[in-house]
Amino acid sequence: MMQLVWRMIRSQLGTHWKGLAVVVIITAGTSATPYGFAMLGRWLVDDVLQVGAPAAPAAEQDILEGAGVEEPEGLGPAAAVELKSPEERLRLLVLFLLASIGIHVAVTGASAVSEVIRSRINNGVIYSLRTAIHRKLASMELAVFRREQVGQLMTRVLDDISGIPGHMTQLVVNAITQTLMLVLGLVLLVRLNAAMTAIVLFVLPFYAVTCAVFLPRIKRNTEDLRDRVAALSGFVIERLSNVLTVKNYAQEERESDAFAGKVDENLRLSRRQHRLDLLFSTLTTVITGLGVLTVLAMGFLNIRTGRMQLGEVLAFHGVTAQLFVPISAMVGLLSTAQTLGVLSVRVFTILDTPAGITDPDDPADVNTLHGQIDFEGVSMQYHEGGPFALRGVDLSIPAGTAVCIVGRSGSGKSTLLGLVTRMYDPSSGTVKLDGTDLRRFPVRDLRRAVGNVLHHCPVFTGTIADNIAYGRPDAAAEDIEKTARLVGLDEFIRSLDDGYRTQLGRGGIQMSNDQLARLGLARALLTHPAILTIDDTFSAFEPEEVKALREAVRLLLHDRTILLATSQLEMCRDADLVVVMQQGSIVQLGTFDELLEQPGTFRRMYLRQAGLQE
Amino acid sequence: MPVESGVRGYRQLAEFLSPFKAPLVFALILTGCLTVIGMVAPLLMRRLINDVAREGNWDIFPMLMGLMFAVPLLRAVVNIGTSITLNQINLGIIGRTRKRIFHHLMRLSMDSYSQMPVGGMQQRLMGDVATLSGVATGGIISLLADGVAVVFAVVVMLRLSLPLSMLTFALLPAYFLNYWFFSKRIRTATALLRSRMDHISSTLQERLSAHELIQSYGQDRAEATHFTSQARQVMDAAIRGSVYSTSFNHLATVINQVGNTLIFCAGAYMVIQEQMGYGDVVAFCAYATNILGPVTRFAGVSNQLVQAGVSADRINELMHREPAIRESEDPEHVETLEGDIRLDAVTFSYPEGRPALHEVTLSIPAGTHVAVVGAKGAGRSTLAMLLRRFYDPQEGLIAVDGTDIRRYHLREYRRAMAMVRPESAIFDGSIADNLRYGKPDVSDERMIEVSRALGLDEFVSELHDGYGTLVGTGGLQLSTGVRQKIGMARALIADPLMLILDEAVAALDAESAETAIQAVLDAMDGRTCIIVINRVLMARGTDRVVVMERGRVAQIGEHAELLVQAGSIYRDLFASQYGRDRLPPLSEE
Repeated sequence: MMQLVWRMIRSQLGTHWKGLAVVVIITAGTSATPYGFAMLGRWLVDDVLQVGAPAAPAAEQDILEGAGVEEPEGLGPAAAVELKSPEERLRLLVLFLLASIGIHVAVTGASAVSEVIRSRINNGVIYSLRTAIHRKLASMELAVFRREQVGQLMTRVLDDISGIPGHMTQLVVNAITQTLMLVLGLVLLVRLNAAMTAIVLFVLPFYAVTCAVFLPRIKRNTEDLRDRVAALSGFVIERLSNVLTVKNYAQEERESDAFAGKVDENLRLSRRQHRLDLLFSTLTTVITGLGVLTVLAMGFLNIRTGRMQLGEVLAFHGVTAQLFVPISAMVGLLSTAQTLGVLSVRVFTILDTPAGITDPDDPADVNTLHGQIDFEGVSMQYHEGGPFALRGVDLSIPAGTAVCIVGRSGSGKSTLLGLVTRMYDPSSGTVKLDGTDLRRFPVRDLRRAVGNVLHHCPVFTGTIADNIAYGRPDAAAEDIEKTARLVGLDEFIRSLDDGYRTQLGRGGIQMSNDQLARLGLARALLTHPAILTIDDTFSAFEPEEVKALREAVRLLLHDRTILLATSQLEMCRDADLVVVMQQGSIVQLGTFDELLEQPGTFRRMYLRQAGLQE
Repeated sequence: MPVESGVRGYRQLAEFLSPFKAPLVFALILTGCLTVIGMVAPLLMRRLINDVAREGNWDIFPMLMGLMFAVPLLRAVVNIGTSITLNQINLGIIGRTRKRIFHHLMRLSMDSYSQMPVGGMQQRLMGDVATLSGVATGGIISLLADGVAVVFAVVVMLRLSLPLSMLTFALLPAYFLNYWFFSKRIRTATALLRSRMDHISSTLQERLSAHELIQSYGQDRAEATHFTSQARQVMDAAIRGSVYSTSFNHLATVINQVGNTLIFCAGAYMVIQEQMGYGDVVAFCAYATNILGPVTRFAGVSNQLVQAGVSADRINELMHREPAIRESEDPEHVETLEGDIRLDAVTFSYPEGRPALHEVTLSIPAGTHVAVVGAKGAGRSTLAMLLRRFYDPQEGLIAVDGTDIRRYHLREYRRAMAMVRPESAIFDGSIADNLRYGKPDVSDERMIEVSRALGLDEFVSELHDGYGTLVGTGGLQLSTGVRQKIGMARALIADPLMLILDEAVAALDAESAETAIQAVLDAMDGRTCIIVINRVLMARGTDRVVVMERGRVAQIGEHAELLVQAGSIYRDLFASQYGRDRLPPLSEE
């Protein structure tokens, strides 16, 4: 998993290394400023304000006397201070004021710059991951797409990736800067007072252990909770979308109870999460609070014995309080790396999935296709060891033939059509087009040469004209309208306020299944395909409507090969060839009249559909 | 604007908070204590510096240090109490509100569902409730705690030094200027980013479900280009938003730092002038932070309040919807139904205005099997929806067993009958769960028996896990045909007193459809059964055929009888479906 994290970092952050270096430098600088101010404060208190020292020579005597006996031995730093005049001190104060405002503005400005660079890097990485995954998805073959349930995985990943760059930059930047911080802080402490540093070193492990124990648990719990909330959302969507069924069976009470149960379960988890959070934050604040206070108390005792000055103590106190930040950040990095690992696995699982069907090395030309199709011993299993969708199909379709493929649902009709557009490659055997193995054509060109009307015709958000012209975006308006007229859509479209510019899909009008089927046909016809396949699209149409559509197809594609899968046997009447399929095999071949006369599956199916018994 | 809608937000919130009055008051008191405890530390520090370090008064050192140590411990204890109380309130609001909303959604009738998209309902149930409870416990409490802190701090600051206090107050406008300048820009940028994100994710949804089309037109490269340009727009919007919010945050930081430095240096100046002790300055700076913090937070909290007000509005809007189909005051309980159906001059239009039925009068004696045929849009499905009381007719009366169906106990009435729609819902879970949906305690034998009769068992037994196979979003994807069979089996397993099939076999091939219809009719022998069908030959097994045309009943009679009547619409339907040559000769009369 950690290799994948490394691979992710290398592949995604590699191009951003300059920006990242700037971010690291700025972050290191800005996180060091609290230390700087703690030290500057020491200078101010001891040398400028001279708080630890007597305010005036007269008062000095009083205090020293009042303080007690150790004064003669008090040869620590405090005693060595020489008093400055008020004017001198004022001058230093102004210097301090200007310096600290300057530092603040510079540091904050630099950190704003680094934030923006970081945001650019993060968004750039999201962009590149998103488009890479999408490109993979769009090119993925249907079989792979379905088998891997890529659709589902993909949406999840597209959401997930937004977390990747943040985690990644955090990992890289923090690993460097926080280590620096820890070392720098410790160096400062040792220089200020080595003995007191020992106390700090005694407290730090408690803090580190608490972090190490709690942070991973909290993280796990958070993720668990997030999954549960997502599951609850899913439940809600499912039930509400199917509310008709719920009402149909009058199961409202049961659904309400089920929902309440899930809510309670979520709340239980939330409560546990909260307890864990609370315990962690209480423990850490108590540990740091007590640690810092111990340091403070020790510091004051050192002031009393004259070994330290007030400014030094306050500076030590300030640096110690800062020291806990890099520790918790570094412990946090472990779980960041873990999360990043999980996300990387998801992303690379998709990016490394083979696309399935690839283009040949020396492609054949599709532009001169006549449309002769040959199936030679074609068998098809969608997945290894699964049932056969096709078994040893041999079929030769001369160019320009209108073929009807009939059979019960699941007999292999759609699979046969899918093979012609190379949605799948056969498990064994070959499919040939004009005598050339299908696999020798460039796959996108092949698909554009074969028109395809699907069983369910989806629409995309956009105008009606855009939807019809999906396969030929540069089609002229007249062509689009002519095709729409032939498939019987023109009248409907003209009745709309915006005509062909009417929006479909999101925010647009809804079309009936009927109209969608016609739109699907128009879409295919407009590309003037050498071969047209229709996958049982019009079975719910009245025979007269089908007849009109058939005229349209004949008019536009008079000498083209047409493959129509259908469960309505009436539609086979005018076909040049009827192919009867049963459980993945061709059981009968012939014209409608021939098949009706010979006893067999077709005759039996026809009589049954017509309500006649044999 | 924020203040005004903030106030309204409070009022709306109060409604959701009212059941939690006592714990809220308790939490408030604890929060007050917490704030005061937090503000003691600077005072102690001041005395440590002024009295101990400077004046050398070491006698009070143990006491002061002891108090200093007590502060974090006491604070931890009080904080645990506060935090747990607040969390209980928070989760209480979430749980209670979610359950109430879902329960209400289940009560609403179909008209509400056609007016509001499911996504919107889900958004209210999940997102809005979370926003609301978060603000109720986080925003309000932090606002009140900040209030206490500000008052305390101001009092102490004025006592420590009047000139320094004046300086502190003089700095406040800078915060507001910063907020005023950026808030609108940030909001606009966020809205832009959100709308572009919505756009890209719905595009993605759309394209993912149309993968087959994209592949079959060889358009995957074009799609990728299109997506890339959208992703780039999202990136640009995100970067712009982050530039604004970074500027705002960092400017606020600079103001804060420069302000603190100014206050500190002014204090230091007074130390040099011997007008103040250094300890006073340290304490003063700590308090100044305490009032500048809330000022920066206030902007955030007031935004949250506006958000919460919007969420409360959205939830209330949903909760104030009433189901159009209502239970009668004194409902008649349904133990058994004979299934004698009578429609008397029923007229109905859908809520969106589409007229569907016009003065339909029809009588179906108990135990009859009726086929309803007609063109699409003739009103066949509407008839089914009205019988199920998914809608009530605007005019006319529907009676079952001589009683107006509006007088029946709604759920008992619905449970007594079953309906199968062309699109059968499949829920996440096993096939068995789906089959048993209407009657969870049915035996395995009965379930398999029904499945076998419908030709479903054949399919299920080939699956690896049989009836235990998981289906739905997370499981196996089923074809429309199989879904329809599951829908019919589910209805038969529920063992209804009446059954309506609404184009339930449209996706099956003729042979399977006929087997299924016959199985249903056999199972419903002696009970009223209404089947809405496309192909007229499917009506052969029924006792009676109702032909509908443009929202009216055009013909009623037996299949064989209607087929041979002169001028019969049914005869025309047959001819168009099966060809003129197959028509039987007209009857003698």
